[in-house]
Amino acid sequence: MDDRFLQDQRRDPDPAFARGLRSRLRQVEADEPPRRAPVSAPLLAAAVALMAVVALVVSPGLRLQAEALLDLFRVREFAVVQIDETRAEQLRARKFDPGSLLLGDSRHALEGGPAQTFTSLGPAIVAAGFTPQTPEVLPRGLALDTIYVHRGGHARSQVDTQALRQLMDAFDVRELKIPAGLEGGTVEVSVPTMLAQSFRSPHSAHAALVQGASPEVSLPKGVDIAALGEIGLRLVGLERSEAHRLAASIDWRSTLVVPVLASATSFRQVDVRGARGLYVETRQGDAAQGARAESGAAVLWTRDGRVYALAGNLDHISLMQMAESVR
Amino acid sequence: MDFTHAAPARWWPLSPARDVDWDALYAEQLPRVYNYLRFRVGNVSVAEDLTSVTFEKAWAARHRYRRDLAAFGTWLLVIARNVAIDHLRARRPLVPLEHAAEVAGGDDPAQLAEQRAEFGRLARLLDGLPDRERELVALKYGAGWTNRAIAKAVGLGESNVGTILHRTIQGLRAGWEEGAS
Repeated sequence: MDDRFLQDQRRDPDPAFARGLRSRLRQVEADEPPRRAPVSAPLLAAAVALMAVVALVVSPGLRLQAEALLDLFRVREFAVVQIDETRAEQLRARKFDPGSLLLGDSRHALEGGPAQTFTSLGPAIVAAGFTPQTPEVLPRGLALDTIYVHRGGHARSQVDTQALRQLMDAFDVRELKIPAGLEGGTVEVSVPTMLAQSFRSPHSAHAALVQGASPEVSLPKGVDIAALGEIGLRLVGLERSEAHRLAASIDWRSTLVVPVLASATSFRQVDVRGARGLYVETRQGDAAQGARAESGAAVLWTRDGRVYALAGNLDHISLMQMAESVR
Repeated sequence: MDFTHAAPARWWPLSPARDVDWDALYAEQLPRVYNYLRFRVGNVSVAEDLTSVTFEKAWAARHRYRRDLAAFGTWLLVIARNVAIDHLRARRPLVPLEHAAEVAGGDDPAQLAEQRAEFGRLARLLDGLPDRERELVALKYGAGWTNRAIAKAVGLGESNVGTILHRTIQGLRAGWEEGAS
């Protein structure tokens, strides 16, 4: 195929343009990104992180079902910790219910019942109480299929740390103590209404965009959140020193720690129209019992107080294009 | 957040930007992005503007990008493609087609004029392509991507991409040769 007439049309950019742009970019490089301001709100995500950490552990990697992704919607930023299959199996074997850790039976108040399903956005918006962002780019013949509205809930409970103690004993986390003030204190969790848009193509491609406000968690005042987070990291299998170091590094008020199986997933940080996001990919054949054996990926990000998760069986670029087009 | 003290094997390093040779990265990626956009919009001035937007977006978020610089070019092109989409959606006839070939580079006025005429001719041909075909041509000849990379990016099969490109280039070449005669 003679395509020289096209090859020959490639040009180097005008040197003056190239220099000017580089100069502007250097200015950007000179401006260090601002450190995140400390979060002054008393609400925290330690309990959420702890719950979410273990919630995800029970699945083989990042669960891709829209409903399961609701477990992630707690915070403004995401970080990743890789965990071993062995530890994940151990937690699964204990039939561990993370929500019960701090909330006990009150955890059920967070379950807003079965999701309502819609075929068009109008009634879904009425049910959800907010207008969702939608993707402007739908790759691979995808079209809007179903909309789910999952009502949230609010739970309030006196903390009984017995279950947490038992878990710590079971996993030989004996060097750490449950933070003072947690036992008997009040914990509150509010999970807002979530809206999920499911997209499908005639050729088995599918994706789901889930969005909603960030849930809020409140723990008793004065509880050492980092200490609680460190317990969570130890429970998912990190060594003592590593868990300690990382617990001190994480802003537990705003960061959701997402555990992914080292054997089943890859992950990376991505940019979603200027927002920092987390991209997680599961590979075919890695799924364990009870989960779908399908390759897939998810990208999580937050914008303007709303948390988004887009998951599906699309390739990285298609998924990112779709995520970047959400407006 | 800074995870630089974290164990790198298990944790995701979030502050790699300081170690990156941004000059080298810029020099490597600028022609790809610029030529992709040039083929995509058919106008040098607009391509320069969109290239600037693309790089400025990428640089503003550069500290968020991990050390996987092999994928940096892909990420940059994803931004460029979205910038192009936004531009094309909002496009009005900003520039007359005769100005489409404001070709940069070179000091020789005769050479400049020739280049301008040639790219103007190509831009007119590209303008007649359906959006998908034009995108494939821009990715292939502007960004210099392989058919496999293009297939992955646009969600088509590799052989399908090859077929579409072959057919498209045949049509373009016929128009190109006709215009030359």
